[in-house]
Amino acid sequence: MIKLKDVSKKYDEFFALKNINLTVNQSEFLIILGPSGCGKSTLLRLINKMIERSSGEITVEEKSIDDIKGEELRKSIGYVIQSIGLFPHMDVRENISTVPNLLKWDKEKISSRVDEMLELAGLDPDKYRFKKPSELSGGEAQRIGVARAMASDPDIMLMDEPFGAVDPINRLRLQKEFRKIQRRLKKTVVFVTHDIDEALLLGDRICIMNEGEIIQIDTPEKMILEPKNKFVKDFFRGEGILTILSRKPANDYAEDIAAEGDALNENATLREVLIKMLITGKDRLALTNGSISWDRLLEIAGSDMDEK
Amino acid sequence: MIWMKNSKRSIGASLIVPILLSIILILLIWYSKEFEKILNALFTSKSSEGSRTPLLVYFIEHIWMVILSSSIAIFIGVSLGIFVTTSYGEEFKPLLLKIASFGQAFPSPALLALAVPILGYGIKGAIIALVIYALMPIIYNVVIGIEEVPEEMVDAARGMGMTEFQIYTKVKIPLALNVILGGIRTSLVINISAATLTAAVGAGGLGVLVVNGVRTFDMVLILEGSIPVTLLAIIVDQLLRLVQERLIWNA
Repeated sequence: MIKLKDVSKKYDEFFALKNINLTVNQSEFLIILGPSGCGKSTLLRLINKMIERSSGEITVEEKSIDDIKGEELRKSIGYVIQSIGLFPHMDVRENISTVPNLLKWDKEKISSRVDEMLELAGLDPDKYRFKKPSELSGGEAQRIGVARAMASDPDIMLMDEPFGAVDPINRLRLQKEFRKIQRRLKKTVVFVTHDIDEALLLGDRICIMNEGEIIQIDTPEKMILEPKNKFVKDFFRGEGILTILSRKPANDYAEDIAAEGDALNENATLREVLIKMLITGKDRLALTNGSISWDRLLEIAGSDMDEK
Repeated sequence: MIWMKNSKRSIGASLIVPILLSIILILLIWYSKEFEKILNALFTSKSSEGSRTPLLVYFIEHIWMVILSSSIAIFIGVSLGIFVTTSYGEEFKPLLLKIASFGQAFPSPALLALAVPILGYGIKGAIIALVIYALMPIIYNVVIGIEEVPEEMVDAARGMGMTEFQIYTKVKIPLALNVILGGIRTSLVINISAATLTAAVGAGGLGVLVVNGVRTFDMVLILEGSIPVTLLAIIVDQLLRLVQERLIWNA
Protein backbone atom coordinates (compact mmCIF):
# COMPACT_ATOMS: atom_id res chain seq x y z
CA MET A 1 0.00 0.00 0.00
CA ILE A 2 1.22 3.46 -0.89
CA LYS A 3 -0.06 6.61 0.76
CA LEU A 4 0.64 10.20 -0.22
CA LYS A 5 -0.53 12.93 2.12
CA ASP A 6 -0.44 16.61 1.14
CA VAL A 7 2.56 15.99 -1.07
CA SER A 8 3.96 18.91 -3.06
CA LYS A 9 6.96 19.31 -5.27
CA LYS A 10 8.24 22.80 -5.97
CA TYR A 11 10.90 23.87 -8.44
CA ASP A 12 11.80 27.41 -7.38
CA GLU A 13 8.41 29.12 -7.43
CA PHE A 14 6.76 26.61 -9.75
CA PHE A 15 4.58 23.85 -8.27
CA ALA A 16 5.16 20.65 -10.25
CA LEU A 17 2.80 18.91 -7.83
CA LYS A 18 0.37 20.55 -5.49
CA ASN A 19 -1.21 18.97 -2.38
CA ILE A 20 -1.43 15.45 -3.69
CA ASN A 21 -3.49 13.07 -1.58
CA LEU A 22 -3.58 9.55 -2.91
CA THR A 23 -3.85 6.02 -1.57
CA VAL A 24 -2.91 3.04 -3.68
CA ASN A 25 -4.43 -0.11 -2.22
CA GLN A 26 -2.82 -3.52 -1.95
CA SER A 27 -2.92 -5.38 -5.31
CA GLU A 28 -4.52 -2.41 -7.02
CA PHE A 29 -3.75 -1.36 -10.58
CA LEU A 30 -3.80 2.42 -10.38
CA ILE A 31 -3.44 4.48 -13.52
CA ILE A 32 -2.13 8.02 -13.38
CA LEU A 33 -3.49 9.71 -16.47
CA GLY A 34 -2.99 13.21 -17.76
CA PRO A 35 -1.60 15.40 -20.52
CA SER A 36 2.18 15.74 -20.80
CA GLY A 37 3.66 18.08 -18.24
CA CYS A 38 0.87 17.48 -15.71
CA GLY A 39 3.33 16.09 -13.18
CA LYS A 40 2.41 12.42 -13.46
CA SER A 41 5.98 11.17 -13.92
CA THR A 42 7.17 13.42 -11.12
CA LEU A 43 4.53 11.89 -8.85
CA LEU A 44 5.75 8.39 -9.72
CA ARG A 45 9.38 9.29 -9.08
CA LEU A 46 8.59 10.80 -5.71
CA ILE A 47 7.38 7.40 -4.51
CA ASN A 48 10.73 5.64 -5.03
CA LYS A 49 12.74 8.72 -4.04
CA MET A 50 14.19 9.28 -7.49
CA ILE A 51 13.09 12.86 -6.75
CA GLU A 52 12.81 14.35 -3.27
CA ARG A 53 9.47 15.91 -2.43
CA SER A 54 9.24 19.47 -1.09
CA SER A 55 6.58 18.77 1.53
CA GLY A 56 4.03 16.20 2.68
CA GLU A 57 4.25 12.58 3.75
CA ILE A 58 4.73 9.43 1.70
CA THR A 59 4.46 5.96 3.19
CA VAL A 60 5.10 2.64 1.47
CA GLU A 61 3.75 -0.45 3.26
CA GLU A 62 3.04 1.67 6.35
CA LYS A 63 6.64 2.92 6.54
CA SER A 64 7.64 6.52 5.89
CA ILE A 65 10.02 6.60 2.93
CA ASP A 66 12.19 9.00 4.94
CA ASP A 67 13.15 6.04 7.14
CA ILE A 68 14.37 3.96 4.21
CA LYS A 69 17.55 4.60 2.22
CA GLY A 70 16.81 5.51 -1.40
CA GLU A 71 18.69 2.52 -2.83
CA GLU A 72 17.06 0.08 -0.42
CA LEU A 73 13.61 1.45 -1.23
CA ARG A 74 14.23 1.22 -4.96
CA LYS A 75 15.54 -2.33 -4.72
CA SER A 76 12.21 -3.33 -3.19
CA ILE A 77 10.07 -1.62 -5.85
CA GLY A 78 9.92 -2.63 -9.51
CA TYR A 79 10.55 0.24 -11.92
CA VAL A 80 9.91 0.34 -15.68
CA ILE A 81 10.38 3.35 -17.93
CA GLN A 82 9.30 4.01 -21.49
CA SER A 83 12.79 3.81 -22.94
CA ILE A 84 13.20 0.50 -21.05
CA GLY A 85 16.88 1.18 -20.44
CA LEU A 86 18.09 -2.38 -20.99
CA PHE A 87 21.87 -2.35 -20.57
CA PRO A 88 23.39 -2.91 -24.03
CA HIS A 89 26.61 -4.39 -22.66
CA MET A 90 24.77 -7.14 -20.79
CA ASP A 91 22.83 -10.05 -22.25
CA VAL A 92 19.20 -10.76 -21.40
CA ARG A 93 20.09 -13.00 -18.48
CA GLU A 94 22.39 -10.38 -16.92
CA ASN A 95 19.82 -7.66 -17.46
CA ILE A 96 17.07 -9.63 -15.74
CA SER A 97 19.32 -10.55 -12.83
CA THR A 98 20.32 -6.93 -12.10
CA VAL A 99 18.26 -6.53 -8.94
CA PRO A 100 18.69 -10.12 -7.65
CA ASN A 101 22.44 -9.49 -8.04
CA LEU A 102 22.21 -6.25 -6.08
CA LEU A 103 20.31 -8.21 -3.43
CA LYS A 104 23.11 -10.82 -3.48
CA TRP A 105 20.95 -13.85 -4.21
CA ASP A 106 22.91 -17.03 -4.80
CA LYS A 107 23.73 -18.00 -8.37
CA GLU A 108 21.40 -20.97 -8.73
CA LYS A 109 18.42 -19.06 -7.42
CA ILE A 110 19.17 -16.23 -9.85
CA SER A 111 19.52 -18.49 -12.86
CA SER A 112 16.27 -20.36 -12.18
CA ARG A 113 14.58 -17.02 -11.54
CA VAL A 114 15.77 -15.70 -14.91
CA ASP A 115 14.21 -18.67 -16.71
CA GLU A 116 11.02 -18.27 -14.73
CA MET A 117 10.80 -14.57 -15.65
CA LEU A 118 11.46 -15.28 -19.33
CA GLU A 119 8.66 -17.83 -19.36
CA LEU A 120 6.38 -15.38 -17.59
CA ALA A 121 7.22 -12.85 -20.31
CA GLY A 122 6.28 -15.45 -22.93
CA LEU A 123 9.83 -15.87 -24.24
CA ASP A 124 11.66 -19.18 -24.59
CA PRO A 125 14.55 -19.10 -22.07
CA ASP A 126 16.82 -21.25 -24.22
CA LYS A 127 16.39 -18.92 -27.15
CA TYR A 128 16.63 -15.60 -25.34
CA ARG A 129 18.91 -16.11 -22.32
CA PHE A 130 22.12 -15.07 -24.06
CA LYS A 131 20.76 -12.55 -26.55
CA LYS A 132 21.99 -8.97 -26.43
CA PRO A 133 19.44 -6.13 -26.28
CA SER A 134 20.49 -5.04 -29.79
CA GLU A 135 19.15 -8.36 -31.13
CA LEU A 136 15.67 -7.90 -29.68
CA SER A 137 12.58 -6.39 -31.29
CA GLY A 138 10.84 -3.49 -29.53
CA GLY A 139 8.17 -5.78 -28.11
CA GLU A 140 10.69 -8.35 -26.88
CA ALA A 141 12.83 -5.66 -25.28
CA GLN A 142 9.77 -4.28 -23.50
CA ARG A 143 8.81 -7.75 -22.20
CA ILE A 144 12.31 -8.17 -20.85
CA GLY A 145 12.19 -4.70 -19.32
CA VAL A 146 9.07 -5.73 -17.39
CA ALA A 147 10.61 -9.11 -16.52
CA ARG A 148 13.68 -7.32 -15.18
CA ALA A 149 11.55 -5.10 -12.98
CA MET A 150 9.72 -8.13 -11.59
CA ALA A 151 12.77 -10.35 -11.14
CA SER A 152 13.11 -9.87 -7.39
CA ASP A 153 9.35 -10.32 -6.96
CA PRO A 154 8.62 -6.83 -5.64
CA ASP A 155 5.12 -6.24 -4.25
CA ILE A 156 4.96 -2.82 -5.83
CA MET A 157 5.68 -1.82 -9.42
CA LEU A 158 6.07 1.71 -10.72
CA MET A 159 5.67 1.99 -14.46
CA ASP A 160 6.19 5.13 -16.51
CA GLU A 161 4.54 4.71 -19.94
CA PRO A 162 6.12 1.27 -20.24
CA PHE A 163 4.38 0.37 -23.49
CA GLY A 164 4.60 3.81 -25.07
CA ALA A 165 7.33 2.94 -27.55
CA VAL A 166 5.80 -0.33 -28.79
CA ASP A 167 3.75 -0.56 -32.00
CA PRO A 168 -0.05 -0.60 -31.49
CA ILE A 169 -0.62 -4.32 -32.17
CA ASN A 170 2.11 -5.45 -29.82
CA ARG A 171 1.09 -2.82 -27.31
CA LEU A 172 -2.40 -4.26 -26.97
CA ARG A 173 -1.01 -7.77 -26.54
CA LEU A 174 1.50 -6.61 -23.94
CA GLN A 175 -1.17 -4.67 -22.07
CA LYS A 176 -3.48 -7.67 -21.88
CA GLU A 177 -0.69 -10.03 -20.87
CA PHE A 178 0.59 -7.70 -18.22
CA ARG A 179 -2.89 -7.19 -16.81
CA LYS A 180 -3.27 -10.95 -16.50
CA ILE A 181 0.10 -11.30 -14.77
CA GLN A 182 -0.70 -8.45 -12.41
CA ARG A 183 -4.01 -10.05 -11.41
CA ARG A 184 -2.44 -13.44 -10.90
CA LEU A 185 0.54 -12.23 -8.88
CA LYS A 186 -1.49 -9.56 -7.07
CA LYS A 187 1.06 -6.81 -7.62
CA THR A 188 0.34 -3.27 -6.59
CA VAL A 189 0.93 -1.23 -9.73
CA VAL A 190 1.15 2.52 -10.26
CA PHE A 191 1.09 3.06 -13.99
CA VAL A 192 1.64 6.41 -15.69
CA THR A 193 0.20 7.00 -19.15
CA HIS A 194 -1.31 9.64 -21.38
CA ASP A 195 -3.13 7.02 -23.45
CA ILE A 196 -6.83 6.97 -22.58
CA ASP A 197 -7.50 3.52 -24.06
CA GLU A 198 -4.63 2.09 -22.09
CA ALA A 199 -5.94 3.69 -18.90
CA LEU A 200 -9.46 2.35 -19.41
CA LEU A 201 -8.24 -1.10 -20.37
CA LEU A 202 -5.82 -1.64 -17.51
CA GLY A 203 -6.84 0.41 -14.53
CA ASP A 204 -8.80 -0.68 -11.48
CA ARG A 205 -8.92 3.01 -10.74
CA ILE A 206 -7.77 6.01 -12.69
CA CYS A 207 -6.26 9.10 -11.17
CA ILE A 208 -6.60 11.94 -13.65
CA MET A 209 -4.22 14.88 -13.26
CA ASN A 210 -3.78 18.32 -14.72
CA GLU A 211 -1.23 21.03 -13.96
CA GLY A 212 0.18 19.28 -10.92
CA GLU A 213 -3.15 18.56 -9.27
CA ILE A 214 -5.38 15.51 -9.02
CA ILE A 215 -8.72 16.22 -10.69
CA GLN A 216 -10.54 12.94 -10.05
CA ILE A 217 -9.79 9.44 -8.81
CA ASP A 218 -12.36 6.81 -9.77
CA THR A 219 -13.01 3.53 -11.53
CA PRO A 220 -12.97 3.78 -15.33
CA GLU A 221 -16.76 3.34 -15.50
CA LYS A 222 -17.46 6.12 -13.06
CA MET A 223 -14.89 8.35 -14.69
CA ILE A 224 -16.80 8.15 -17.98
CA LEU A 225 -20.31 8.20 -16.57
CA GLU A 226 -19.74 10.81 -13.88
CA PRO A 227 -16.92 13.10 -14.93
CA LYS A 228 -16.24 15.58 -12.18
CA ASN A 229 -15.75 18.53 -14.50
CA LYS A 230 -15.35 19.59 -18.11
CA PHE A 231 -11.65 18.70 -18.16
CA VAL A 232 -12.35 15.05 -17.34
CA LYS A 233 -15.32 14.96 -19.72
CA ASP A 234 -13.30 16.44 -22.59
CA PHE A 235 -10.45 14.11 -21.82
CA PHE A 236 -12.54 10.98 -22.36
CA ARG A 237 -14.92 12.35 -25.01
CA GLY A 238 -17.19 9.59 -26.36
CA GLU A 239 -14.67 6.79 -26.76
CA GLY A 240 -15.10 5.42 -23.29
CA ILE A 241 -18.05 3.15 -23.87
CA LEU A 242 -16.15 1.03 -26.40
CA THR A 243 -13.30 0.56 -24.00
CA ILE A 244 -15.69 -0.40 -21.24
CA LEU A 245 -17.09 -3.07 -23.57
CA SER A 246 -13.55 -4.24 -24.25
CA ARG A 247 -13.09 -4.86 -20.51
CA LYS A 248 -16.01 -7.32 -20.41
CA PRO A 249 -15.54 -10.96 -21.52
CA ALA A 250 -18.40 -11.95 -23.86
CA ASN A 251 -18.76 -15.40 -22.27
CA ASP A 252 -19.89 -13.76 -19.00
CA TYR A 253 -23.00 -12.48 -20.79
CA ALA A 254 -23.82 -15.54 -22.89
CA GLU A 255 -27.44 -16.59 -23.29
CA ASP A 256 -28.29 -20.25 -23.41
CA ILE A 257 -29.51 -20.11 -26.99
CA ALA A 258 -27.90 -21.90 -29.90
CA ALA A 259 -26.76 -19.75 -32.83
CA GLU A 260 -25.50 -20.47 -36.34
CA GLY A 261 -21.93 -19.95 -37.49
CA ASP A 262 -18.53 -20.35 -35.87
CA ALA A 263 -18.30 -19.50 -32.18
CA LEU A 264 -16.19 -16.54 -31.19
CA ASN A 265 -12.96 -17.21 -29.33
CA GLU A 266 -13.62 -17.87 -25.64
CA ASN A 267 -11.51 -14.84 -24.66
CA ALA A 268 -13.49 -12.50 -26.92
CA THR A 269 -14.79 -9.33 -25.35
CA LEU A 270 -18.05 -7.51 -25.91
CA ARG A 271 -16.19 -5.02 -28.06
CA GLU A 272 -15.24 -7.79 -30.45
CA VAL A 273 -18.86 -9.00 -30.43
CA LEU A 274 -20.00 -5.52 -31.40
CA ILE A 275 -17.46 -5.23 -34.17
CA LYS A 276 -18.33 -8.68 -35.56
CA MET A 277 -22.01 -7.76 -35.53
CA LEU A 278 -21.36 -4.51 -37.35
CA ILE A 279 -19.25 -6.26 -39.97
CA THR A 280 -21.45 -9.32 -40.56
CA GLY A 281 -24.82 -7.63 -40.02
CA LYS A 282 -25.96 -10.56 -37.86
CA ASP A 283 -27.99 -9.80 -34.74
CA ARG A 284 -26.94 -12.97 -32.91
CA LEU A 285 -23.44 -14.43 -32.62
CA ALA A 286 -22.37 -17.85 -31.37
CA LEU A 287 -20.09 -18.08 -28.34
CA THR A 288 -18.30 -21.10 -26.93
CA ASN A 289 -20.86 -21.28 -24.11
CA GLY A 290 -24.02 -20.14 -25.91
CA SER A 291 -24.70 -17.03 -27.90
CA ILE A 292 -25.27 -13.30 -27.57
CA SER A 293 -27.76 -11.00 -29.28
CA TRP A 294 -27.68 -7.36 -30.38
CA ASP A 295 -30.45 -6.51 -27.92
CA ARG A 296 -28.53 -8.11 -25.09
CA LEU A 297 -25.47 -6.03 -26.03
CA LEU A 298 -27.48 -2.82 -25.98
CA GLU A 299 -28.90 -3.84 -22.64
CA ILE A 300 -25.44 -4.38 -21.14
CA ALA A 301 -24.09 -1.10 -22.49
CA GLY A 302 -27.25 0.66 -21.35
CA SER A 303 -27.19 -0.87 -17.87
CA ASP A 304 -23.65 0.33 -17.58
CA MET A 305 -24.73 3.80 -18.50
CA ASP A 306 -27.59 3.69 -16.05
CA GLU A 307 -25.59 2.38 -13.09
CA LYS A 308 -26.02 5.23 -10.62
CA MET B 1 25.23 5.00 -30.70
CA ILE B 2 28.79 3.81 -30.58
CA TRP B 3 28.12 0.26 -29.47
CA MET B 4 25.63 -0.35 -32.27
CA LYS B 5 28.31 -0.18 -34.92
CA ASN B 6 29.19 -3.55 -36.25
CA SER B 7 32.53 -4.00 -37.88
CA LYS B 8 33.66 -7.41 -36.81
CA ARG B 9 36.52 -9.09 -38.56
CA SER B 10 37.85 -12.39 -37.34
CA ILE B 11 40.46 -11.87 -34.67
CA GLY B 12 43.07 -13.82 -36.67
CA ALA B 13 42.79 -11.57 -39.71
CA SER B 14 43.04 -8.41 -37.62
CA LEU B 15 46.17 -9.68 -35.90
CA ILE B 16 48.14 -10.25 -39.11
CA VAL B 17 49.34 -6.66 -39.57
CA PRO B 18 50.48 -6.05 -35.97
CA ILE B 19 52.21 -9.45 -35.89
CA LEU B 20 54.05 -8.80 -39.14
CA LEU B 21 55.12 -5.35 -37.99
CA SER B 22 56.29 -6.77 -34.65
CA ILE B 23 58.42 -9.34 -36.45
CA ILE B 24 59.98 -6.60 -38.58
CA LEU B 25 60.62 -4.50 -35.47
CA ILE B 26 62.28 -7.40 -33.63
CA LEU B 27 64.45 -8.21 -36.63
CA LEU B 28 65.52 -4.57 -36.97
CA ILE B 29 66.59 -4.40 -33.36
CA TRP B 30 68.19 -7.84 -33.26
CA TYR B 31 70.14 -7.33 -36.47
CA SER B 32 70.79 -3.63 -35.91
CA LYS B 33 74.25 -3.74 -37.49
CA GLU B 34 72.81 -5.17 -40.71
CA PHE B 35 69.97 -2.64 -40.53
CA GLU B 36 72.61 0.12 -40.33
CA LYS B 37 74.42 -1.31 -43.32
CA ILE B 38 71.29 -1.28 -45.43
CA LEU B 39 70.57 2.31 -44.45
CA ASN B 40 74.20 3.22 -45.20
CA ALA B 41 73.90 1.70 -48.62
CA LEU B 42 70.77 3.71 -49.33
CA PHE B 43 71.98 7.07 -47.95
CA THR B 44 75.66 7.36 -48.68
CA SER B 45 75.77 11.15 -48.50
CA LYS B 46 78.14 10.93 -45.57
CA SER B 47 79.95 8.08 -43.95
CA SER B 48 77.98 7.35 -40.87
CA GLU B 49 79.48 5.73 -37.85
CA GLY B 50 76.05 4.51 -36.89
CA SER B 51 75.09 4.06 -33.32
CA ARG B 52 77.74 3.07 -30.83
CA THR B 53 75.29 1.90 -28.20
CA PRO B 54 73.20 -1.11 -29.28
CA LEU B 55 69.78 -0.24 -30.65
CA LEU B 56 68.23 -2.59 -28.09
CA VAL B 57 69.39 -0.38 -25.20
CA TYR B 58 67.78 2.71 -26.69
CA PHE B 59 64.67 0.74 -27.51
CA ILE B 60 64.28 -0.52 -23.94
CA GLU B 61 64.88 3.00 -22.57
CA HIS B 62 62.26 4.30 -24.93
CA ILE B 63 59.65 1.70 -24.02
CA TRP B 64 60.37 2.17 -20.33
CA MET B 65 59.73 5.93 -20.63
CA VAL B 66 56.51 5.35 -22.53
CA ILE B 67 55.22 2.73 -20.09
CA LEU B 68 56.09 4.83 -17.06
CA SER B 69 54.65 8.11 -18.35
CA SER B 70 51.57 6.49 -19.91
CA SER B 71 50.72 4.52 -16.78
CA ILE B 72 50.91 7.66 -14.70
CA ALA B 73 48.89 9.58 -17.30
CA ILE B 74 46.24 6.85 -17.52
CA PHE B 75 45.95 6.65 -13.75
CA ILE B 76 45.69 10.43 -13.27
CA GLY B 77 43.61 11.00 -16.40
CA VAL B 78 41.03 8.31 -15.70
CA SER B 79 40.69 9.27 -12.03
CA LEU B 80 40.39 12.99 -12.74
CA GLY B 81 38.07 12.40 -15.70
CA ILE B 82 35.73 10.24 -13.65
CA PHE B 83 35.91 12.63 -10.71
CA VAL B 84 34.71 15.63 -12.71
CA THR B 85 31.70 13.70 -14.05
CA THR B 86 30.47 13.02 -10.51
CA SER B 87 28.34 15.47 -8.59
CA TYR B 88 31.32 16.14 -6.30
CA GLY B 89 33.69 17.15 -9.07
CA GLU B 90 31.31 18.78 -11.51
CA GLU B 91 32.43 22.31 -10.76
CA PHE B 92 36.06 21.48 -11.59
CA LYS B 93 35.21 20.16 -15.03
CA PRO B 94 35.65 23.35 -17.10
CA LEU B 95 38.89 24.17 -15.27
CA LEU B 96 40.30 20.67 -15.76
CA LEU B 97 39.45 20.58 -19.46
CA LYS B 98 41.02 24.01 -19.90
CA ILE B 99 44.24 23.00 -18.15
CA ALA B 100 44.41 19.74 -20.09
CA SER B 101 43.94 21.40 -23.46
CA PHE B 102 46.51 24.04 -22.49
CA GLY B 103 49.02 21.29 -21.69
CA GLN B 104 48.28 19.76 -25.06
CA ALA B 105 48.54 23.02 -27.00
CA PHE B 106 51.81 24.05 -25.41
CA PRO B 107 54.68 23.09 -27.79
CA SER B 108 56.20 19.88 -26.48
CA PRO B 109 59.88 20.86 -26.94
CA ALA B 110 59.20 24.00 -24.93
CA LEU B 111 57.44 21.98 -22.25
CA LEU B 112 60.53 19.77 -22.02
CA ALA B 113 62.88 22.71 -21.96
CA LEU B 114 60.89 24.25 -19.11
CA ALA B 115 61.01 21.00 -17.16
CA VAL B 116 64.83 21.05 -17.14
CA PRO B 117 65.43 24.08 -14.86
CA ILE B 118 62.73 22.85 -12.48
CA LEU B 119 63.43 19.13 -12.35
CA GLY B 120 66.94 18.96 -13.71
CA TYR B 121 68.48 17.26 -16.69
CA GLY B 122 67.40 13.65 -17.31
CA ILE B 123 64.52 11.29 -17.13
CA LYS B 124 62.49 12.91 -14.30
CA GLY B 125 61.69 16.07 -16.21
CA ALA B 126 61.08 14.08 -19.36
CA ILE B 127 58.56 11.79 -17.69
CA ILE B 128 56.63 14.70 -16.21
CA ALA B 129 56.51 16.53 -19.52
CA LEU B 130 55.30 13.36 -21.24
CA VAL B 131 52.62 12.79 -18.61
CA ILE B 132 51.26 16.31 -19.03
CA TYR B 133 51.29 15.85 -22.77
CA ALA B 134 49.51 12.47 -22.63
CA LEU B 135 46.80 13.57 -20.20
CA MET B 136 44.55 15.58 -22.48
CA PRO B 137 43.18 12.85 -24.78
CA ILE B 138 42.59 10.57 -21.81
CA ILE B 139 40.76 13.12 -19.66
CA TYR B 140 38.77 14.35 -22.61
CA ASN B 141 37.61 10.90 -23.69
CA VAL B 142 36.79 9.77 -20.16
CA VAL B 143 34.57 12.83 -19.67
CA ILE B 144 32.89 12.52 -23.09
CA GLY B 145 32.50 8.75 -22.80
CA ILE B 146 30.79 8.92 -19.44
CA GLU B 147 28.62 11.87 -20.35
CA GLU B 148 27.49 10.13 -23.53
CA VAL B 149 25.99 7.21 -21.62
CA PRO B 150 22.27 7.65 -22.34
CA GLU B 151 20.29 9.22 -19.52
CA GLU B 152 17.71 6.42 -19.64
CA MET B 153 20.34 3.78 -18.78
CA VAL B 154 21.38 5.78 -15.75
CA ASP B 155 17.73 6.34 -14.86
CA ALA B 156 16.99 2.60 -15.12
CA ALA B 157 20.08 1.75 -13.06
CA ARG B 158 19.19 4.22 -10.34
CA GLY B 159 15.54 3.12 -10.43
CA MET B 160 16.57 -0.45 -9.73
CA GLY B 161 18.42 0.60 -6.63
CA MET B 162 22.04 0.89 -7.69
CA THR B 163 24.20 3.20 -5.59
CA GLU B 164 26.13 5.99 -7.33
CA PHE B 165 29.24 3.83 -7.09
CA GLN B 166 27.48 0.81 -8.63
CA ILE B 167 26.09 3.00 -11.41
CA TYR B 168 29.70 3.85 -12.28
CA THR B 169 31.14 0.36 -12.02
CA LYS B 170 28.25 -1.55 -13.60
CA VAL B 171 26.85 0.89 -16.15
CA LYS B 172 28.71 4.13 -16.85
CA ILE B 173 32.29 2.89 -17.05
CA PRO B 174 31.53 -0.33 -18.99
CA LEU B 175 29.49 1.68 -21.49
CA ALA B 176 32.17 4.38 -21.76
CA LEU B 177 35.05 1.91 -21.95
CA ASN B 178 35.23 1.98 -25.73
CA VAL B 179 35.56 5.77 -25.83
CA ILE B 180 37.99 5.76 -22.90
CA LEU B 181 40.19 3.20 -24.66
CA GLY B 182 40.10 5.40 -27.76
CA GLY B 183 41.59 8.20 -25.65
CA ILE B 184 44.24 5.93 -24.22
CA ARG B 185 45.14 4.76 -27.70
CA THR B 186 45.58 8.31 -29.01
CA SER B 187 47.56 9.23 -25.93
CA LEU B 188 49.90 6.24 -26.26
CA VAL B 189 50.61 6.91 -29.93
CA ILE B 190 51.37 10.56 -29.19
CA ASN B 191 53.51 9.51 -26.26
CA ILE B 192 55.58 6.98 -28.21
CA SER B 193 56.54 9.61 -30.74
CA ALA B 194 56.82 12.49 -28.24
CA ALA B 195 59.25 10.42 -26.16
CA THR B 196 61.73 10.90 -29.03
CA LEU B 197 62.06 14.56 -28.06
CA THR B 198 63.12 13.77 -24.52
CA ALA B 199 66.58 12.86 -25.80
CA ALA B 200 67.15 16.62 -26.00
CA VAL B 201 67.05 16.82 -22.21
CA GLY B 202 69.23 13.77 -21.75
CA ALA B 203 66.54 11.20 -21.04
CA GLY B 204 67.76 8.63 -23.54
CA GLY B 205 65.60 6.44 -25.73
CA LEU B 206 65.48 6.12 -29.50
CA GLY B 207 65.33 9.92 -29.64
CA VAL B 208 69.08 10.02 -28.92
CA LEU B 209 69.71 8.67 -32.44
CA VAL B 210 67.24 11.09 -34.02
CA VAL B 211 68.54 14.14 -32.13
CA ASN B 212 72.17 13.28 -32.91
CA GLY B 213 71.25 12.56 -36.48
CA VAL B 214 69.57 15.93 -36.87
CA ARG B 215 72.60 17.70 -35.38
CA THR B 216 75.03 16.03 -37.77
CA PHE B 217 72.71 15.77 -40.77
CA ASP B 218 73.09 12.02 -40.60
CA MET B 219 70.14 10.42 -42.37
CA VAL B 220 71.18 6.95 -41.26
CA LEU B 221 71.02 7.87 -37.59
CA ILE B 222 67.70 9.68 -38.01
CA LEU B 223 66.10 6.70 -39.71
CA GLU B 224 67.67 4.20 -37.37
CA GLY B 225 65.90 5.95 -34.53
CA SER B 226 62.65 6.92 -36.16
CA ILE B 227 61.74 3.71 -38.02
CA PRO B 228 61.45 1.64 -34.80
CA VAL B 229 59.50 4.50 -33.16
CA THR B 230 57.05 4.57 -36.04
CA LEU B 231 56.67 0.79 -36.08
CA LEU B 232 56.11 0.71 -32.33
CA ALA B 233 53.45 3.41 -32.56
CA ILE B 234 51.59 1.61 -35.35
CA ILE B 235 51.71 -1.76 -33.55
CA VAL B 236 50.37 -0.30 -30.29
CA ASP B 237 47.68 1.60 -32.19
CA GLN B 238 46.51 -1.50 -34.05
CA LEU B 239 46.49 -3.73 -31.00
CA LEU B 240 44.44 -1.26 -28.96
CA ARG B 241 42.09 -0.75 -31.87
CA LEU B 242 41.55 -4.49 -31.83
CA VAL B 243 40.72 -4.46 -28.12
CA GLN B 244 38.32 -1.59 -28.76
CA GLU B 245 36.56 -3.48 -31.55
CA ARG B 246 36.09 -6.46 -29.26
CA LEU B 247 34.36 -4.14 -26.84
CA ILE B 248 31.61 -3.01 -29.18
CA TRP B 249 28.46 -4.23 -27.47
CA ASN B 250 27.05 -6.29 -30.27
CA ALA B 251 27.49 -9.99 -29.81
